[in-house]
Amino acid sequence: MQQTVSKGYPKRESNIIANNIETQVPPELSHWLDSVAMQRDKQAFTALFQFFAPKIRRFGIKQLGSEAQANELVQETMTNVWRKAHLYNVDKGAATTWVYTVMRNASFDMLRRIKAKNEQNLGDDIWPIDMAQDEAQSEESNFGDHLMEKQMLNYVNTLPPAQQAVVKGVYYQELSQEQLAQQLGVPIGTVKSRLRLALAKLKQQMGEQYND
Amino acid sequence: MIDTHLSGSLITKLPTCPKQMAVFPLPLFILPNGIQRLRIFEPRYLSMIAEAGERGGFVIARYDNELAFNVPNWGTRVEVIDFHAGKDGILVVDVKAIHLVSLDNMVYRNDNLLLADTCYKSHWDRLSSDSSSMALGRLLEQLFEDNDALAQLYGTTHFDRLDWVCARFLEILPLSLNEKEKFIHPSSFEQLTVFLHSVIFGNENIN
Repeated sequence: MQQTVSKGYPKRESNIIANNIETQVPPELSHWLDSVAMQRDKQAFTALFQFFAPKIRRFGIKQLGSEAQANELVQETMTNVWRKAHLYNVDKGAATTWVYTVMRNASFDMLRRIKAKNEQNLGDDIWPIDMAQDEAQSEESNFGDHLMEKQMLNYVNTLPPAQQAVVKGVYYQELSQEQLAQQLGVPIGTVKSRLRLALAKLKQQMGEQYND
Repeated sequence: MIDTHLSGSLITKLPTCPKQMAVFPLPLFILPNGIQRLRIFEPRYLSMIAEAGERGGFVIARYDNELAFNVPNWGTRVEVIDFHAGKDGILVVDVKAIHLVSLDNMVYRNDNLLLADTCYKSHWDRLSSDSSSMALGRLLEQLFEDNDALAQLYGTTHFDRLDWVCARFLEILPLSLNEKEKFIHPSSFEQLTVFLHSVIFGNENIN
């Protein structure tokens, strides 16, 4: 933070006051976060933005070394604050601590991306590599070989019937919404809405009983 | 405690319900009398199959990476009813579900196979039946006819038994495992029949 002020600097007084206002932590911070979480309150979010944005930008310039990156960090952080406000718990710590944690995580992610880009600077297919790595790390792919995954099933369904029978026999049988619609002779939209209605009704019936 | 509607074969198996069994976490939902084909290639699960005979089968439990040991506190005990080597040399086994079990004291063996203490867990206790159930059975029968893979998996079918029909429907419906899990509670059978009627026939009230 720039605090050095040259002698006779005309706006010295007001600058310090402005700085003080900015560093003072408004007591409503956690209340604003709550409003964002519960009511998607845009005004509260604006207030949060006005308080946090300059601080995040300063942190970003220091960590990431450029104003553009710093602005991106502000955007990244505040988007996450908007999306994840419901995860903030006032009993677990101050609102500032929570937002700064979100900011640090966003900053680490950006640094990782910058680093990865430098290391894999082999061609213009950088992003596909990153994405393939992310996908490989996800837990989902563990079972691809013990059972048949749904995407695979959809693919298999495009094969000629004789081949389908061979391939399908080895895998998990679950109808897709399309298959169910076909079987019932109704449009897929009807199947979707019936499933939704039936589940809603079920939740009503069972909700309180089995909330474990 | 003991379920009066259990089939005979199930009751005879009750006293031999083994205590510690291997657990196979899978994104799969299988109820008693359900049949499932699995491909086994990981060493720990090959051991599991090898030991299944002496242990009295193994347990399939819903994989959930948010839970300790990646499985809930219940599973389905299954026995191997058939096996063969696939074209690619991978072991293919058919398993049939015997009954539900509760899981306790989970621990990883040194080969990373998950073991748990199991106890018999009763499934549906009140089986209602009404005239409209015949329609569900007929539809399932048609579904088996249209899906060779399903028909081949099941040697014998019971389209006239509402509990069998409802269980098979629940297994193959496009629902999340969490939604399906709601129907393992002993008193949930009636709700399942209502649920299936809403989904399949679209009627709001069946009574």
